[in-house]
Amino acid sequence: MSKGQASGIMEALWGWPPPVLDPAGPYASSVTTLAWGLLIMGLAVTGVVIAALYVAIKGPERWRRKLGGEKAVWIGGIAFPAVVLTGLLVWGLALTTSLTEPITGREARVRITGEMWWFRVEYLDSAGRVIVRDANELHLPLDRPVVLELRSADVIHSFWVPHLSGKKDMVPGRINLLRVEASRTGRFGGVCAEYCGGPHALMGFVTEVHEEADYDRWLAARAARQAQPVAAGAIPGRPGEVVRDPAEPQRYDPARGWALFRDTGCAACHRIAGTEANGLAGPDLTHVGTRLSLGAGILPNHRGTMMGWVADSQSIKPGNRMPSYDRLSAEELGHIAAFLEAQK
Amino acid sequence: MIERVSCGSCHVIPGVDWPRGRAGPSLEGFDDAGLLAGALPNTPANLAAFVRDAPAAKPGSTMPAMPITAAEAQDVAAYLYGMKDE
Ligand code: HEC
Ligand code: HEC
Ligand SMILES: [Cu+2]
Repeated sequence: MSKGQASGIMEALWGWPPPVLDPAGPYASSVTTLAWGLLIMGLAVTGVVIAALYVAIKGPERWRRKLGGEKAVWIGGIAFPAVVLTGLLVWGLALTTSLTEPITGREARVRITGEMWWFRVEYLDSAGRVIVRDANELHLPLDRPVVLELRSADVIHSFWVPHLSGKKDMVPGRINLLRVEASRTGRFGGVCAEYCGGPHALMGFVTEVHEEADYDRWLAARAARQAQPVAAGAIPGRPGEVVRDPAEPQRYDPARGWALFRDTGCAACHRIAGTEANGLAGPDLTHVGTRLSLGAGILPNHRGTMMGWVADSQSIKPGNRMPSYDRLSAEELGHIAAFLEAQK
Repeated sequence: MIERVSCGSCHVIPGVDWPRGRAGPSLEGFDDAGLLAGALPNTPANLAAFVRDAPAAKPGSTMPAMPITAAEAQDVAAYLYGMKDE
Protein backbone atom coordinates (compact mmCIF):
# COMPACT_ATOMS: atom_id res chain seq x y z
CA MET A 1 0.00 0.00 0.00
CA SER A 2 1.17 3.49 -0.47
CA LYS A 3 2.49 6.56 1.11
CA GLY A 4 0.11 9.01 2.60
CA GLN A 5 -3.01 6.85 2.62
CA ALA A 6 -4.50 6.48 6.07
CA SER A 7 -5.47 2.86 6.56
CA GLY A 8 -6.45 1.15 9.79
CA ILE A 9 -4.63 -1.98 8.71
CA MET A 10 -1.38 -0.16 7.97
CA GLU A 11 -1.60 1.68 11.29
CA ALA A 12 -2.08 -1.63 13.10
CA LEU A 13 0.82 -3.46 11.51
CA TRP A 14 3.45 -0.88 10.58
CA GLY A 15 5.20 2.06 12.12
CA TRP A 16 8.08 2.70 14.42
CA PRO A 17 8.22 1.59 17.18
CA PRO A 18 6.28 -1.48 15.99
CA PRO A 19 2.71 -1.28 17.40
CA VAL A 20 3.11 -4.49 19.46
CA LEU A 21 6.09 -2.93 21.24
CA ASP A 22 4.37 0.44 21.71
CA PRO A 23 1.60 -0.12 24.24
CA ALA A 24 -1.00 2.61 24.75
CA GLY A 25 -2.75 1.04 27.73
CA PRO A 26 -2.25 -1.21 30.76
CA TYR A 27 -3.46 -4.44 29.12
CA ALA A 28 -1.17 -3.98 26.16
CA SER A 29 1.74 -3.20 28.50
CA SER A 30 1.71 -6.63 30.09
CA VAL A 31 1.68 -8.24 26.66
CA THR A 32 4.59 -6.05 25.59
CA THR A 33 6.60 -6.90 28.72
CA LEU A 34 6.02 -10.59 28.02
CA ALA A 35 7.04 -10.10 24.39
CA TRP A 36 10.33 -8.51 25.45
CA GLY A 37 10.92 -11.24 28.03
CA LEU A 38 10.41 -13.99 25.44
CA LEU A 39 12.55 -12.17 22.90
CA ILE A 40 15.46 -11.83 25.33
CA MET A 41 15.17 -15.45 26.51
CA GLY A 42 15.02 -16.58 22.90
CA LEU A 43 18.18 -14.65 22.06
CA ALA A 44 19.99 -16.00 25.14
CA VAL A 45 19.12 -19.61 24.26
CA THR A 46 20.17 -19.08 20.66
CA GLY A 47 23.47 -17.70 21.94
CA VAL A 48 24.05 -20.78 24.11
CA VAL A 49 23.22 -23.11 21.21
CA ILE A 50 25.63 -21.31 18.88
CA ALA A 51 28.36 -21.44 21.52
CA ALA A 52 27.76 -25.17 22.01
CA LEU A 53 27.91 -25.71 18.28
CA TYR A 54 31.20 -23.87 18.10
CA VAL A 55 32.62 -25.96 20.93
CA ALA A 56 31.38 -29.15 19.29
CA ILE A 57 33.15 -28.31 16.03
CA LYS A 58 36.25 -26.40 17.03
CA GLY A 59 36.49 -26.55 20.86
CA PRO A 60 39.21 -28.31 22.87
CA GLU A 61 38.96 -32.09 23.13
CA ARG A 62 38.14 -32.05 26.85
CA TRP A 63 35.15 -29.69 26.35
CA ARG A 64 33.89 -31.66 23.42
CA ARG A 65 33.85 -34.83 25.46
CA LYS A 66 31.86 -33.09 28.18
CA LEU A 67 29.37 -31.74 25.67
CA GLY A 68 28.84 -35.15 24.14
CA GLY A 69 28.40 -36.88 27.51
CA GLU A 70 25.15 -38.12 28.92
CA LYS A 71 25.26 -35.57 31.70
CA ALA A 72 25.15 -32.69 29.23
CA VAL A 73 22.03 -34.14 27.64
CA TRP A 74 20.33 -34.49 31.03
CA ILE A 75 21.17 -30.96 32.04
CA GLY A 76 20.97 -29.08 28.77
CA GLY A 77 18.29 -31.16 27.11
CA ILE A 78 15.88 -31.86 29.96
CA ALA A 79 16.53 -30.01 33.20
CA PHE A 80 17.26 -26.58 31.67
CA PRO A 81 14.24 -26.42 29.33
CA ALA A 82 11.93 -27.81 32.01
CA VAL A 83 12.98 -25.17 34.52
CA VAL A 84 13.03 -22.27 32.04
CA LEU A 85 9.76 -23.12 30.31
CA THR A 86 7.92 -23.67 33.59
CA GLY A 87 9.29 -20.37 34.86
CA LEU A 88 8.18 -18.57 31.73
CA LEU A 89 4.73 -20.13 31.94
CA VAL A 90 4.25 -19.04 35.54
CA TRP A 91 5.58 -15.56 34.79
CA GLY A 92 3.44 -15.21 31.68
CA LEU A 93 0.29 -16.30 33.47
CA ALA A 94 0.98 -13.97 36.40
CA LEU A 95 1.64 -11.07 34.05
CA THR A 96 -1.51 -11.58 32.03
CA THR A 97 -3.98 -12.26 34.86
CA SER A 98 -4.99 -8.62 34.54
CA LEU A 99 -6.34 -9.50 31.09
CA THR A 100 -8.91 -11.83 32.61
CA GLU A 101 -9.82 -9.72 35.66
CA PRO A 102 -13.48 -10.18 36.45
CA ILE A 103 -15.84 -7.63 34.92
CA THR A 104 -17.26 -5.36 37.61
CA GLY A 105 -20.28 -4.26 35.62
CA ARG A 106 -19.36 -0.58 35.95
CA GLU A 107 -17.31 -0.46 32.75
CA ALA A 108 -18.72 1.02 29.57
CA ARG A 109 -19.84 -1.72 27.17
CA VAL A 110 -19.45 -2.00 23.44
CA ARG A 111 -20.57 -4.99 21.39
CA ILE A 112 -18.46 -5.74 18.33
CA THR A 113 -19.56 -8.36 15.84
CA GLY A 114 -17.24 -9.75 13.21
CA GLU A 115 -18.94 -9.94 9.81
CA MET A 116 -17.48 -11.06 6.50
CA TRP A 117 -15.52 -8.65 6.06
CA TRP A 118 -16.21 -5.75 8.36
CA PHE A 119 -17.01 -4.99 12.00
CA ARG A 120 -20.46 -4.13 13.37
CA VAL A 121 -20.10 -1.90 16.44
CA GLU A 122 -22.87 -1.23 18.97
CA TYR A 123 -22.57 0.95 22.08
CA LEU A 124 -24.66 -0.34 25.00
CA ASP A 125 -26.09 1.46 28.01
CA SER A 126 -25.80 0.01 31.53
CA ALA A 127 -28.92 -2.06 30.97
CA GLY A 128 -27.45 -3.61 27.83
CA ARG A 129 -29.66 -1.75 25.37
CA VAL A 130 -28.09 -0.58 22.11
CA ILE A 131 -27.87 3.21 22.08
CA VAL A 132 -25.60 3.79 19.07
CA ARG A 133 -25.09 1.59 16.01
CA ASP A 134 -21.92 2.14 14.06
CA ALA A 135 -19.31 0.19 12.10
CA ASN A 136 -15.62 -0.24 11.47
CA GLU A 137 -14.43 2.05 14.21
CA LEU A 138 -14.27 2.07 17.98
CA HIS A 139 -14.21 5.21 20.10
CA LEU A 140 -12.83 4.95 23.63
CA PRO A 141 -12.56 7.29 26.63
CA LEU A 142 -9.08 7.93 28.06
CA ASP A 143 -8.11 6.01 31.21
CA ARG A 144 -11.48 4.32 31.63
CA PRO A 145 -11.81 0.56 31.21
CA VAL A 146 -14.26 -0.57 28.53
CA VAL A 147 -15.54 -4.10 28.12
CA LEU A 148 -15.90 -5.33 24.57
CA GLU A 149 -18.39 -8.12 23.90
CA LEU A 150 -16.90 -9.86 20.91
CA ARG A 151 -19.19 -11.94 18.73
CA SER A 152 -19.31 -13.27 15.21
CA ALA A 153 -22.15 -13.39 12.73
CA ASP A 154 -20.60 -16.03 10.48
CA VAL A 155 -17.12 -17.53 10.79
CA ILE A 156 -14.32 -17.13 13.30
CA HIS A 157 -12.71 -13.70 13.23
CA SER A 158 -10.24 -12.25 15.68
CA PHE A 159 -10.21 -8.76 17.12
CA TRP A 160 -6.82 -7.13 17.46
CA VAL A 161 -5.67 -3.60 18.24
CA PRO A 162 -1.95 -4.16 18.90
CA HIS A 163 -1.58 -0.86 20.78
CA LEU A 164 -4.33 -1.77 23.24
CA SER A 165 -4.49 -5.50 23.87
CA GLY A 166 -3.75 -9.01 22.73
CA LYS A 167 -5.86 -10.76 20.12
CA LYS A 168 -9.23 -12.21 21.06
CA ASP A 169 -11.22 -14.54 18.83
CA MET A 170 -14.75 -13.75 17.72
CA VAL A 171 -16.50 -17.10 17.66
CA PRO A 172 -20.00 -17.78 16.30
CA GLY A 173 -22.47 -18.52 19.08
CA ARG A 174 -20.21 -17.21 21.83
CA ILE A 175 -19.60 -13.90 23.53
CA ASN A 176 -15.95 -13.36 24.39
CA LEU A 177 -15.27 -10.48 26.74
CA LEU A 178 -12.17 -8.35 26.28
CA ARG A 179 -11.29 -5.48 28.56
CA VAL A 180 -9.43 -2.59 26.98
CA GLU A 181 -8.14 0.64 28.42
CA ALA A 182 -6.19 3.41 26.76
CA SER A 183 -3.72 5.64 28.54
CA ARG A 184 -3.00 7.90 25.58
CA THR A 185 -5.27 9.71 23.17
CA GLY A 186 -4.87 9.17 19.45
CA ARG A 187 -5.77 6.81 16.65
CA PHE A 188 -4.79 3.18 16.65
CA GLY A 189 -5.41 0.77 13.83
CA GLY A 190 -6.90 -2.67 14.25
CA VAL A 191 -7.24 -5.78 12.10
CA CYS A 192 -9.02 -9.09 11.91
CA ALA A 193 -6.31 -11.53 12.95
CA GLU A 194 -7.94 -14.83 12.01
CA TYR A 195 -8.26 -15.86 8.37
CA CYS A 196 -11.96 -15.59 7.55
CA GLY A 197 -11.95 -16.16 3.79
CA GLY A 198 -12.07 -13.83 0.78
CA PRO A 199 -10.83 -10.30 1.44
CA HIS A 200 -9.82 -11.11 5.05
CA ALA A 201 -6.59 -9.17 4.54
CA LEU A 202 -8.71 -6.08 3.85
CA MET A 203 -10.73 -6.31 7.06
CA GLY A 204 -9.61 -3.69 9.52
CA PHE A 205 -10.90 -0.86 11.63
CA VAL A 206 -9.80 2.29 13.42
CA THR A 207 -9.78 3.01 17.15
CA GLU A 208 -9.87 6.58 18.39
CA VAL A 209 -9.20 7.50 22.02
CA HIS A 210 -10.73 10.77 23.27
CA GLU A 211 -10.37 12.79 26.47
CA GLU A 212 -13.08 11.62 28.86
CA ALA A 213 -15.28 14.72 28.55
CA ASP A 214 -14.99 14.72 24.76
CA TYR A 215 -15.96 11.08 24.67
CA ASP A 216 -19.06 11.64 26.79
CA ARG A 217 -20.12 14.52 24.57
CA TRP A 218 -19.43 12.50 21.44
CA LEU A 219 -21.48 9.53 22.66
CA ALA A 220 -24.38 11.70 23.84
CA ALA A 221 -24.55 13.48 20.47
CA ARG A 222 -24.56 10.21 18.56
CA ALA A 223 -27.14 8.63 20.84
CA ALA A 224 -29.37 11.69 20.36
CA ARG A 225 -29.07 11.46 16.57
CA GLN A 226 -29.85 7.75 16.61
CA ALA A 227 -32.96 8.18 18.74
CA GLN A 228 -34.29 10.93 16.50
CA PRO A 229 -36.94 10.14 13.89
CA VAL A 230 -36.47 11.83 10.52
CA ALA A 231 -39.64 13.57 9.33
CA ALA A 232 -41.15 12.28 6.10
CA GLY A 233 -39.80 14.32 3.21
CA ALA A 234 -36.79 15.55 5.22
CA ILE A 235 -33.24 14.59 4.31
CA PRO A 236 -31.47 12.75 7.14
CA GLY A 237 -28.15 14.01 8.45
CA ARG A 238 -26.90 17.57 8.02
CA PRO A 239 -27.22 18.26 4.30
CA GLY A 240 -26.58 21.96 4.93
CA GLU A 241 -23.08 21.13 6.07
CA VAL A 242 -21.72 19.26 3.08
CA VAL A 243 -18.29 20.82 2.73
CA ARG A 244 -18.53 23.49 0.08
CA ASP A 245 -15.15 24.55 -1.09
CA PRO A 246 -15.86 27.79 -2.99
CA ALA A 247 -13.52 26.59 -5.72
CA GLU A 248 -15.19 23.21 -6.06
CA PRO A 249 -17.69 22.48 -8.80
CA GLN A 250 -20.99 22.63 -6.94
CA ARG A 251 -23.19 20.31 -8.76
CA TYR A 252 -24.04 17.58 -6.27
CA ASP A 253 -27.12 17.66 -4.13
CA PRO A 254 -27.68 15.59 -0.95
CA ALA A 255 -31.46 15.63 -1.52
CA ARG A 256 -31.08 13.87 -4.87
CA GLY A 257 -28.54 11.57 -3.28
CA TRP A 258 -31.10 10.52 -0.66
CA ALA A 259 -33.68 9.76 -3.35
CA LEU A 260 -31.13 7.68 -5.27
CA PHE A 261 -30.07 5.93 -2.08
CA ARG A 262 -33.62 4.69 -1.60
CA ASP A 263 -34.36 3.95 -5.24
CA THR A 264 -31.11 2.12 -5.98
CA GLY A 265 -31.63 -0.37 -3.18
CA CYS A 266 -28.88 0.76 -0.83
CA ALA A 267 -31.48 0.96 1.94
CA ALA A 268 -32.04 -2.80 1.76
CA CYS A 269 -28.56 -3.42 3.16
CA HIS A 270 -27.78 -0.21 5.03
CA ARG A 271 -29.45 1.52 7.94
CA ILE A 272 -29.77 5.25 8.47
CA ALA A 273 -31.34 5.88 11.88
CA GLY A 274 -34.81 7.34 11.95
CA THR A 275 -35.60 6.52 8.32
CA GLU A 276 -37.04 3.62 6.37
CA ALA A 277 -33.48 2.65 5.46
CA ASN A 278 -33.08 -0.18 7.94
CA GLY A 279 -31.04 -2.85 6.17
CA LEU A 280 -28.68 -4.79 8.39
CA ALA A 281 -26.62 -6.73 5.84
CA GLY A 282 -24.06 -3.92 5.57
CA PRO A 283 -22.52 -1.32 7.88
CA ASP A 284 -24.79 1.25 9.53
CA LEU A 285 -24.41 4.51 7.58
CA THR A 286 -26.01 6.91 10.11
CA HIS A 287 -22.60 8.44 10.78
CA VAL A 288 -20.74 7.50 7.62
CA GLY A 289 -19.95 11.17 6.89
CA THR A 290 -17.60 11.23 9.88
CA ARG A 291 -16.35 7.67 9.45
CA LEU A 292 -12.58 7.52 9.92
CA SER A 293 -12.20 5.05 7.05
CA LEU A 294 -14.16 3.38 4.26
CA GLY A 295 -14.31 -0.28 3.29
CA ALA A 296 -13.47 -1.47 6.84
CA GLY A 297 -10.29 0.41 7.63
CA ILE A 298 -8.78 0.33 4.15
CA LEU A 299 -9.49 3.73 2.55
CA PRO A 300 -9.50 7.30 3.81
CA ASN A 301 -12.98 8.81 3.74
CA HIS A 302 -13.62 11.64 1.29
CA ARG A 303 -15.47 12.42 -1.92
CA GLY A 304 -13.16 10.50 -4.24
CA THR A 305 -13.02 7.30 -2.21
CA MET A 306 -16.73 7.46 -1.46
CA MET A 307 -17.63 7.64 -5.16
CA GLY A 308 -15.01 5.07 -6.05
CA TRP A 309 -16.25 2.64 -3.38
CA VAL A 310 -19.89 2.89 -4.44
CA ALA A 311 -19.01 2.73 -8.15
CA ASP A 312 -16.82 -0.33 -7.90
CA SER A 313 -16.16 -1.68 -4.44
CA GLN A 314 -15.44 -5.06 -6.04
CA SER A 315 -12.26 -3.82 -7.68
CA ILE A 316 -11.08 -2.17 -4.45
CA LYS A 317 -12.00 -5.05 -2.12
CA PRO A 318 -12.56 -8.08 -4.34
CA GLY A 319 -15.22 -10.47 -3.10
CA ASN A 320 -16.78 -8.15 -0.53
CA ARG A 321 -20.54 -8.43 -0.06
CA MET A 322 -21.56 -5.13 -1.58
CA PRO A 323 -22.24 -5.15 -5.33
CA SER A 324 -20.45 -2.63 -7.58
CA TYR A 325 -22.73 0.09 -8.88
CA ASP A 326 -21.03 0.68 -12.20
CA ARG A 327 -24.35 1.44 -13.84
CA LEU A 328 -24.72 4.67 -11.84
CA SER A 329 -23.81 7.77 -13.85
CA ALA A 330 -21.17 10.23 -12.69
CA GLU A 331 -23.89 12.66 -11.62
CA GLU A 332 -25.68 10.01 -9.60
CA LEU A 333 -22.48 8.93 -7.86
CA GLY A 334 -21.77 12.55 -6.99
CA HIS A 335 -25.23 13.07 -5.49
CA ILE A 336 -24.98 9.88 -3.46
CA ALA A 337 -21.53 10.82 -2.16
CA ALA A 338 -22.74 14.30 -1.20
CA PHE A 339 -25.66 12.70 0.65
CA LEU A 340 -23.44 10.22 2.49
CA GLU A 341 -21.02 13.01 3.47
CA ALA A 342 -23.95 14.72 5.23
CA GLN A 343 -24.57 11.70 7.49
CA LYS A 344 -22.81 12.81 10.68
CA MET B 1 -2.82 15.50 -4.51
CA ILE B 2 -3.79 12.44 -6.47
CA GLU B 3 -3.67 10.59 -3.18
CA ARG B 4 -5.60 13.16 -1.21
CA VAL B 5 -8.68 12.68 -3.35
CA SER B 6 -7.82 9.06 -4.15
CA CYS B 7 -8.21 9.02 -7.90
CA GLY B 8 -6.81 5.53 -7.30
CA SER B 9 -10.19 4.32 -6.05
CA CYS B 10 -11.29 4.37 -9.71
CA HIS B 11 -8.03 4.23 -11.67
CA VAL B 12 -4.86 2.19 -11.84
CA ILE B 13 -2.18 4.91 -11.73
CA PRO B 14 1.57 4.23 -12.01
CA GLY B 15 3.25 5.32 -8.76
CA VAL B 16 0.12 4.79 -6.72
CA ASP B 17 0.16 1.31 -5.17
CA TRP B 18 -3.13 1.53 -3.39
CA PRO B 19 -5.95 1.69 -4.00
CA ARG B 20 -6.01 0.40 -7.60
CA GLY B 21 -9.62 0.59 -8.65
CA ARG B 22 -11.01 -0.35 -12.03
CA ALA B 23 -14.17 1.75 -12.40
CA GLY B 24 -12.27 4.05 -14.76
CA PRO B 25 -9.56 3.27 -17.34
CA SER B 26 -5.94 2.71 -16.29
CA LEU B 27 -3.96 5.91 -16.61
CA GLU B 28 -0.74 4.13 -17.52
CA GLY B 29 0.87 5.39 -20.73
CA PHE B 30 -1.97 7.75 -21.00
CA ASP B 31 -0.06 10.78 -22.31
CA ASP B 32 0.26 9.02 -25.66
CA ALA B 33 -3.47 8.66 -25.97
CA GLY B 34 -4.81 10.73 -28.82
CA LEU B 35 -8.16 11.73 -27.47
CA LEU B 36 -8.95 12.34 -23.82
CA ALA B 37 -11.77 10.03 -22.71
CA GLY B 38 -12.31 9.40 -26.41
CA ALA B 39 -13.64 12.89 -27.00
CA LEU B 40 -11.36 15.83 -26.18
CA PRO B 41 -7.96 16.68 -27.66
CA ASN B 42 -5.30 15.54 -25.19
CA THR B 43 -3.92 18.93 -24.12
CA PRO B 44 -2.92 20.10 -20.62
CA ALA B 45 -5.79 22.59 -20.43
CA ASN B 46 -8.38 20.03 -21.44
CA LEU B 47 -6.91 17.49 -19.07
CA ALA B 48 -7.00 19.91 -16.15
CA ALA B 49 -10.60 20.82 -16.89
CA PHE B 50 -11.53 17.17 -17.28
CA VAL B 51 -10.07 15.89 -14.01
CA ARG B 52 -11.82 18.67 -12.13
CA ASP B 53 -15.25 18.46 -13.65
CA ALA B 54 -15.48 15.69 -16.20
CA PRO B 55 -19.22 15.87 -16.90
CA ALA B 56 -18.88 19.57 -17.79
CA ALA B 57 -15.83 19.07 -20.00
CA LYS B 58 -17.26 16.04 -21.77
CA PRO B 59 -21.03 15.75 -21.54
CA GLY B 60 -22.07 12.21 -20.71
CA SER B 61 -18.74 11.28 -19.16
CA THR B 62 -19.00 8.62 -16.49
CA MET B 63 -16.31 10.17 -14.30
CA PRO B 64 -17.78 12.46 -11.62
CA ALA B 65 -16.53 15.97 -10.81
CA MET B 66 -13.77 15.97 -8.19
CA PRO B 67 -13.61 18.35 -5.21
CA ILE B 68 -10.37 20.05 -6.26
CA THR B 69 -9.47 23.59 -7.24
CA ALA B 70 -8.40 24.68 -10.71
CA ALA B 71 -4.78 25.03 -9.54
CA GLU B 72 -4.83 21.54 -8.05
CA ALA B 73 -6.28 20.20 -11.28
CA GLN B 74 -3.28 21.65 -13.15
CA ASP B 75 -0.90 19.89 -10.74
CA VAL B 76 -2.72 16.64 -11.33
CA ALA B 77 -2.52 17.13 -15.09
CA ALA B 78 1.20 17.83 -14.77
CA TYR B 79 1.69 14.62 -12.82
CA LEU B 80 -0.23 12.55 -15.33
CA TYR B 81 1.89 13.93 -18.20
CA GLY B 82 5.12 13.55 -16.23
CA MET B 83 4.67 9.85 -15.57
CA LYS B 84 7.21 7.67 -17.33
CA ASP B 85 5.77 4.94 -19.47
CA GLU B 86 6.87 1.57 -18.22
C1 HEC C 1 -26.31 -6.46 -0.91
C2 HEC C 1 -26.20 -5.53 0.18
C3 HEC C 1 -25.69 -4.12 -0.12
C4 HEC C 1 -26.24 -3.18 -0.98
C5 HEC C 1 -27.45 -3.31 -1.86
C6 HEC C 1 -25.42 -1.99 -0.81
N1 HEC C 1 -24.41 -2.22 0.09
FE1 HEC C 1 -23.05 -0.86 0.73
N2 HEC C 1 -22.13 -2.30 1.81
C7 HEC C 1 -22.56 -3.61 1.94
C8 HEC C 1 -21.60 -4.36 2.71
C9 HEC C 1 -21.68 -5.83 3.08
C10 HEC C 1 -20.56 -3.45 3.03
C11 HEC C 1 -19.27 -3.76 3.80
C12 HEC C 1 -18.25 -4.21 2.80
C13 HEC C 1 -16.93 -4.55 3.42
O1 HEC C 1 -16.25 -3.64 3.92
O2 HEC C 1 -16.55 -5.73 3.37
C14 HEC C 1 -20.94 -2.16 2.46
C15 HEC C 1 -20.19 -0.99 2.61
C16 HEC C 1 -20.62 0.26 2.20
C17 HEC C 1 -19.94 1.51 2.49
C18 HEC C 1 -18.66 1.64 3.32
C19 HEC C 1 -19.02 1.73 4.77
C20 HEC C 1 -17.83 1.67 5.66
O3 HEC C 1 -17.94 2.05 6.82
O4 HEC C 1 -16.76 1.22 5.25
C21 HEC C 1 -20.66 2.50 1.90
C22 HEC C 1 -20.35 3.99 1.93
C23 HEC C 1 -21.77 1.88 1.22
N3 HEC C 1 -21.72 0.51 1.44
C24 HEC C 1 -22.72 2.56 0.47
C25 HEC C 1 -23.69 1.93 -0.30
C26 HEC C 1 -24.53 2.63 -1.27
C27 HEC C 1 -24.49 4.12 -1.54
C28 HEC C 1 -25.34 1.69 -1.84
C29 HEC C 1 -26.37 1.87 -2.94
C30 HEC C 1 -25.86 2.46 -4.17
C31 HEC C 1 -25.01 0.40 -1.20
N4 HEC C 1 -24.02 0.59 -0.29
C32 HEC C 1 -25.65 -0.79 -1.48
C33 HEC C 1 -23.72 -4.14 1.45
C34 HEC C 1 -24.54 -3.51 0.53
C1 HEC D 1 -15.79 7.70 -9.22
C2 HEC D 1 -14.70 7.13 -9.97
C3 HEC D 1 -13.60 8.09 -10.48
C4 HEC D 1 -12.78 8.90 -9.73
C5 HEC D 1 -12.80 9.13 -8.21
C6 HEC D 1 -11.85 9.49 -10.67
N1 HEC D 1 -12.13 9.06 -11.95
FE1 HEC D 1 -11.11 9.58 -13.66
N2 HEC D 1 -12.40 8.48 -14.78
C7 HEC D 1 -13.45 7.74 -14.27
C8 HEC D 1 -14.20 7.18 -15.39
C9 HEC D 1 -15.44 6.28 -15.25
C10 HEC D 1 -13.54 7.61 -16.57
C11 HEC D 1 -13.93 7.33 -18.02
C12 HEC D 1 -14.70 8.60 -18.39
C13 HEC D 1 -15.08 8.77 -19.84
O1 HEC D 1 -14.60 8.01 -20.65
O2 HEC D 1 -15.84 9.73 -20.08
C14 HEC D 1 -12.41 8.42 -16.15
C15 HEC D 1 -11.52 9.03 -17.04
C16 HEC D 1 -10.38 9.74 -16.63
C17 HEC D 1 -9.38 10.28 -17.53
C18 HEC D 1 -9.36 10.12 -19.01
C19 HEC D 1 -8.66 8.83 -19.32
C20 HEC D 1 -8.48 8.51 -20.80
O3 HEC D 1 -7.82 7.51 -21.04
O4 HEC D 1 -8.94 9.30 -21.64
C21 HEC D 1 -8.44 10.91 -16.75
C22 HEC D 1 -7.19 11.61 -17.21
C23 HEC D 1 -8.88 10.79 -15.38
N3 HEC D 1 -10.05 10.06 -15.32
C24 HEC D 1 -8.18 11.31 -14.29
C25 HEC D 1 -8.65 11.27 -12.98
C26 HEC D 1 -8.01 11.96 -11.88
C27 HEC D 1 -6.74 12.77 -11.97
C28 HEC D 1 -8.76 11.72 -10.78
C29 HEC D 1 -8.55 12.27 -9.34
C30 HEC D 1 -8.65 13.72 -9.26
C31 HEC D 1 -9.87 10.86 -11.16
N4 HEC D 1 -9.77 10.60 -12.52
C32 HEC D 1 -10.85 10.38 -10.29
C33 HEC D 1 -13.78 7.53 -12.94
C34 HEC D 1 -13.20 8.20 -11.87
CU1 LIG E 1 -10.55 -12.08 9.04
